[in-house]
Amino acid sequence: MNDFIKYNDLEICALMLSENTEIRKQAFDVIYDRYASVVYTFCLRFLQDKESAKDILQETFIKFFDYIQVKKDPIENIGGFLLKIARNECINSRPRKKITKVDYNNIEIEYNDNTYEQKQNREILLRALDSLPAKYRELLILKEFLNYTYNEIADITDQSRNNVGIMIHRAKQMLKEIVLKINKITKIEIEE
Amino acid sequence: MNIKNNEYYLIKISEFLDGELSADETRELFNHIADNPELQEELKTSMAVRNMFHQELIPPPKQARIFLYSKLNLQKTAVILSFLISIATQFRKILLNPAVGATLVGVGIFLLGYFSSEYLKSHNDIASKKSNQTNSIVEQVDQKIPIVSSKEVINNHINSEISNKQVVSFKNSKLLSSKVSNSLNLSQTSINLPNNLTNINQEESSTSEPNNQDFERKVISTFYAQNDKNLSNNIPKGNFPEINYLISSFLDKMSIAITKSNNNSNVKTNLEPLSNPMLNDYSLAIAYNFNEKNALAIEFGQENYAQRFSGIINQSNAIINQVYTAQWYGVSYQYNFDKLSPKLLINPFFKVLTGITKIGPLLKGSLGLSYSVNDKLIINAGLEASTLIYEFQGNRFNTNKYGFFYGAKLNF
Repeated sequence: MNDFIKYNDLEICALMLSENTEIRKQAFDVIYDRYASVVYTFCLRFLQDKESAKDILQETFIKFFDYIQVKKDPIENIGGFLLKIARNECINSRPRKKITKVDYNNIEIEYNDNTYEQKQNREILLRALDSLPAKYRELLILKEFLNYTYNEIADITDQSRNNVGIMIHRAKQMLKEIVLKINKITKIEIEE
Repeated sequence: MNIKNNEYYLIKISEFLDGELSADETRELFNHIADNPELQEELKTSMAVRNMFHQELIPPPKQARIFLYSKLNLQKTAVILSFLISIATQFRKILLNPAVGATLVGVGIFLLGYFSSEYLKSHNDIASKKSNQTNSIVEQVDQKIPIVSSKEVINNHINSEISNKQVVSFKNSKLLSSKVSNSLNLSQTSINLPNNLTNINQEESSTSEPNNQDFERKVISTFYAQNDKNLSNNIPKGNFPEINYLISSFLDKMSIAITKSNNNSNVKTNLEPLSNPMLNDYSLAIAYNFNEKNALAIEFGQENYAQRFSGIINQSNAIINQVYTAQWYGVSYQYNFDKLSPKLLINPFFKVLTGITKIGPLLKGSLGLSYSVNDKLIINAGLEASTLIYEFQGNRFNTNKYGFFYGAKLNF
């Protein structure tokens, strides 16, 4: 059991500046346990690729570690700081292929209808999300998957709170259109 | 309501669903929505879309932490661990290749069979035990069962001392004993036998007309029954050697086969499967050959099945096309016909398979030719048809495929 788990972000950052390697390691353990899933979920949902998400997760924590060691400046909101780094890394990562058409295939069928529909909805949602422009996708991920508030999102993405509200609304409208479009595909026979 | 005003309330609906509105803003929004069916519909659909999201945190893979700690020099052992994990990851990727996986399984079973039989030969070969036992019996026979005659044996053809070789021939046939008994007066011949055999001798002697052949048969059969009993008593107790013998016999009749099929489907679609194409249309069979003609096998494989089925989705009739990657497991029976000619080592055969997938049963039938390269390796090719039966919302559908296959089989 890590004793540092009770400390807040600012205190943990201060502990990371310790000369003692063991203390530094324990402090870093707490930060990793606290935020690795958040950063990884963001990267995975943004990039839809496990390997890339894993690489960016590592890169994000390395940059954070280096920042603390070099700047020696404790951070109050480590989660937001890490997401800022991760967001920049995701945007700057290798260019994603342009998706012009949303395919709807390879869905496993289960005998249980509910399970099937849940799985189907999830598949549709992820594909629709993947086809959104990056600036909208990141906002929806932060809001819908990670449950950040508009103010927190504004802080992470360097936008005003009102702008975040409008952008999220537009993102949802676009997502809804794509979902309906995909659902429409399921309602008519695909022309060969 | 103008468009600008409408857009304002749409944003407010979004903010309300995200929990960003104050109590006063919420009250104002709902007062406005109450008179506006269009916004009510918008609220409903926005809620439906929002319900598709599941707030969840996905934990990163464990290797990520190890790699990260090794890069940050926070854990010395992490360097070695990350190296080992990277090797294990590469190994796993290689194993996922069906050709490599099948080869490794085949080699593994072959080695098991090979070393099992070698071990059996050196330590627990029952056949060799029986052979050794037979030699000792021969010696015992030579010592314990001298054939003695009350008459002086003058006949040079008959030796009073029976060599081991003769005893063996005595054992294997009755010719020698017949000659002996014919040339000697059997009623006066006594044989130094165990008690039970002596009793038989006495019983035979008590009869007025002893039937020589019957007597010999009884003596010999009783004698060997006795020796068989001794033999079985001398076999080491416990199941281990017998199990080894059984495993060896079992593995001798085993074979492993890998097959690649190339089929067309009755359901045509432009959709591409998302699964790894390297794994598709391969199957692996582990067979038990009862004899040259009949074989039973367990098989597993992966194939794409284009599907077309209909049902009701979101309260609407829907026809769905998709490509399903089926991982199937099944049992097959193969019957081999006689060779086409003695010179041509080609057998026609047919095979039927019944299997299961996650979504329903799979049936396969194939007709082909097998060519024996040698007694271990057989190459197969032929025609194949299969059908996958599946169910959606209580209705059954099926996809049929037909085409050809080819593969290789390795006997152990």
